[in-house]
Amino acid sequence: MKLTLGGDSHAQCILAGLRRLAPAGFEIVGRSFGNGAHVYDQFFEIENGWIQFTVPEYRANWSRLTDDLEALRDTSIFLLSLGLSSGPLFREQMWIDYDPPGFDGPGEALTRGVFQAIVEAKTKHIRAFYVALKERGAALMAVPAPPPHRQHWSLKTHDARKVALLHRLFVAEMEAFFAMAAIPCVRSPAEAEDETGFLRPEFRVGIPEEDPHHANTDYGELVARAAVAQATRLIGNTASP
Amino acid sequence: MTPYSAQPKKAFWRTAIADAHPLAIENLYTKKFDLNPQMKIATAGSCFAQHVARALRKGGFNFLDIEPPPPMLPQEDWARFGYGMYSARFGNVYTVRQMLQLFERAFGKFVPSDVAWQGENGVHDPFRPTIEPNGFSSLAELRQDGERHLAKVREMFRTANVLIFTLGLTEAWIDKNDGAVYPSCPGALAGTFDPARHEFVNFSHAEVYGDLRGLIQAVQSVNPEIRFILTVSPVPLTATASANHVLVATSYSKAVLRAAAGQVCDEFACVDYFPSYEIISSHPFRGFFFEANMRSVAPKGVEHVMGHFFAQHTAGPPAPHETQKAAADDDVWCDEEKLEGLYA
Repeated sequence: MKLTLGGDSHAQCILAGLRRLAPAGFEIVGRSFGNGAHVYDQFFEIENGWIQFTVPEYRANWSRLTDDLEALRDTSIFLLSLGLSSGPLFREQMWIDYDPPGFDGPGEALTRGVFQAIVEAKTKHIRAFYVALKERGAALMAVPAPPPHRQHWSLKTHDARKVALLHRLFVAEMEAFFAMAAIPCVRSPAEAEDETGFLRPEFRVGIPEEDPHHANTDYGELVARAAVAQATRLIGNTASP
Repeated sequence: MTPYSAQPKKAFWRTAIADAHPLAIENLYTKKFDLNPQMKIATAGSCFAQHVARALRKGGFNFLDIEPPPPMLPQEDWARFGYGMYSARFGNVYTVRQMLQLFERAFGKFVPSDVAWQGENGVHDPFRPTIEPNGFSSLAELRQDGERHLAKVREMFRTANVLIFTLGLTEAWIDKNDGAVYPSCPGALAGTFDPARHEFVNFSHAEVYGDLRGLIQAVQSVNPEIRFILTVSPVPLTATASANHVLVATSYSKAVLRAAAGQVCDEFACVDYFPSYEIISSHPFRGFFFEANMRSVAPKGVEHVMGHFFAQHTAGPPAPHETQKAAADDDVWCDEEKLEGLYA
């Protein structure tokens, strides 16, 4: 069985984790599209029915996705690391003055509905990408990005409890989308988080301090284990009469 | 010599109207007091008031938006969540009694007994039923947001230099228990209509006049220097709950509102009346400014009305982002229009 992995820069540690794990019976292929910052704007288009990246970096890294989609036909599961990184949400300056729903703080409290609208708007191109892939027959599975870590620069201005809550709420919204779209989603492993919802320090070992986002291969391996287990169940279920 | 001899051209129908092209009719409005770009101008009222708010922003006035949208909420979602429509997130305020009760609720003088309507996907605020399209996620969230919102409304009443209030309807639905006025019929947008609890009212001139006086005096009690500009919405009723034809019901409603606004304007030095109703709806304008349904006001109509306003009140050039905001949102959010879908 073949697992193909693609997505934002968090795909790299998961790919490294998959290769380290080297699950028996699985062929592992994949690469990152590139910098995940591009996915908050229009980053693909449908051309003659095929998905085509419009971001040169993504095109360069994945050639033409049309070709890669052809290649995905013999892929059992396409693991996609996209849309579960909460950093682009929680690091926004507005959270200095505003509170997410359910947060007991002095800021302007947002309702759940307004928060959902913000997340939907922020991730609309990502959601459209998942839907476009699914409509074209890709067997998708979303894989997680790491939770925020304690050294993230935004904690200098943002309440840590608020950041942790924003991450949880964001992931919950995306998981709800995946559920609605019938796209399986691998959850970020609980053992990677401390009791306050932040990434445990050991999963940042080896990552340069100036890198605010990423986790190491140990985290990637935890995700890989969960992904392989879920993929095995899924393939088994699919194969069942 | 008679008293008419000294009257200006605008006082005579032939010279002011019959001999003039409708678009050239002038001097329809003479301001009672000056506005300047520093003044904080609050707006509230029926749907037409949204046009006024947008025009003020475009016109370089200091539109008071005391409950602005969160920075990450895209502009296309603002109206859906009641942001940017009026000075606070209170949605459409169609009747004077509703506006008076909004003041009273903000200052703790009135606590309606109807606090929440359970919907399919969430809990709705009876007094802002569409402010959260799917309802609030819980009663606690509704209460928290309601308290925060009313604090903003208090701030609006206390700090505005001018309140432009557009009177929309005389027809309303109230809670028989305490007289609380709903902005729309329970069951139309959210909630469930209960004939044992919900009652139709069509406010009389005396009631509208009394409520307007009460509103002005109440706001002055917390903000003595505030001034008011009253307008009457030219938008007809979408539907009437009276026994009358909707055209006759509209005529009654607008006549009552117009008369009450005029009387209050005559009595209070701090109250001006701007004739948006007359400019759009009067027969010399031949219905030019309405869309094909003869109800919605076309953009050129809004532009024409506000042209008369800005001929008297000028401000500086708008900030570039205000121009973009106004240009991007041509549609108004009008809860009352949802009644149109109720005709079976």
